[in-house]
Amino acid sequence: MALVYWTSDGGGSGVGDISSVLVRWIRTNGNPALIVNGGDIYDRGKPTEFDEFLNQMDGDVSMICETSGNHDWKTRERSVATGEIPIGYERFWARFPPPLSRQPIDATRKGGARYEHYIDLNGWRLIFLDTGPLEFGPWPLGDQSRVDWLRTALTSAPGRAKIVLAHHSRLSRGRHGDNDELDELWRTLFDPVTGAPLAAFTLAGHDHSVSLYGPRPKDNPASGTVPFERGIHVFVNGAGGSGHYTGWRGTQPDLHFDDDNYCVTRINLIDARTADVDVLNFGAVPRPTTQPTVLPNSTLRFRF
Amino acid sequence: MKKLHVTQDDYGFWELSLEDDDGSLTLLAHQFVDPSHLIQDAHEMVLQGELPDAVVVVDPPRRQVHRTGAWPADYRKPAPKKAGA
Repeated sequence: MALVYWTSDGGGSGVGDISSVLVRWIRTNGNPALIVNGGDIYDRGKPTEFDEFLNQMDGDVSMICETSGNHDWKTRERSVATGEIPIGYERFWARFPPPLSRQPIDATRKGGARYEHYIDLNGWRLIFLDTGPLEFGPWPLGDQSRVDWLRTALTSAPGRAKIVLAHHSRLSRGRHGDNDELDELWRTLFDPVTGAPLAAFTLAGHDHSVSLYGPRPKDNPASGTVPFERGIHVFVNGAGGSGHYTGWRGTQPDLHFDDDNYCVTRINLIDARTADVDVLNFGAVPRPTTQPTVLPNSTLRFRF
Repeated sequence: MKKLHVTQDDYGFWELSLEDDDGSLTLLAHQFVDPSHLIQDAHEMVLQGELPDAVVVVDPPRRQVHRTGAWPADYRKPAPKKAGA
């Protein structure tokens, strides 16, 4: 058994201390094997804002990796050696190479590809993608090698015990809504010949709310749920500390929607054929003493 | 004319509301401790073409929201609100 926790959209400046409350609970009560931060160190991913994030994490990022968000990419630089990168994000995680954190930087690659990686844990593969600069262009920003890398990551281990984690989600409900620009990425998660899904679910943030979708098909995922054999679950949890977005736009989730509470997604990787996922609800006013409850209809069991 | 209102609720948290052409109000975001994120959101919605003709209206701050330890236990999602109201 290995427990993985996801929080997103709650670190940096001008966001209060919810992210500290959540991560302290995870460390104290959650027995984490890995903590994933889904991105956005506010306001602009500056080095000083990453320092605030480090303080919010109590100076310890040894269990943490971060899929960069659009706010991380607001402070960016370009060089011949690196391509365009989020410079505050790069410098911060370069200070904490594994094992000081779980976030690697591949200095042989350029742009967001430098931060894409996977972690194999208890028979499952967690694939981390960088969709942070989505407002400047859709993933993979013209870099075909990233598509090839993703296909290899999805197919070099057998079965569907794979999770794709990024800041943006193909489907989402909130102020932002669906990201049609991610359709190429979404379609890459299916076998190009048979159309069979290659992953169990995707997990993202960006909208500061919780949206849980049943399995969605390769074509027109907003159209509705299909059997798991033909679709991939879509989970969104951006309720990690920086307020809430209401369900203004985007595909209505068929399993659950929440725009009132601060939440952590818990993934229990039991073995290579089994995992449970649920969403821990810390309420609208989390305190250091808060014990979360499981959000209604948020528990999903994967059995292959 | 559509308007995007960035205002404070009764607890001091910041919220974002959309006023439609007919005057109806919709809450888009709530419980932010600082207005800067919502001001940025509102301007992005205009500049990126989601609400290209909307006007952004921001209330001056009236009170500061403290750290979570001092947050009101009875917080509830607020009603949408116009700036200056």
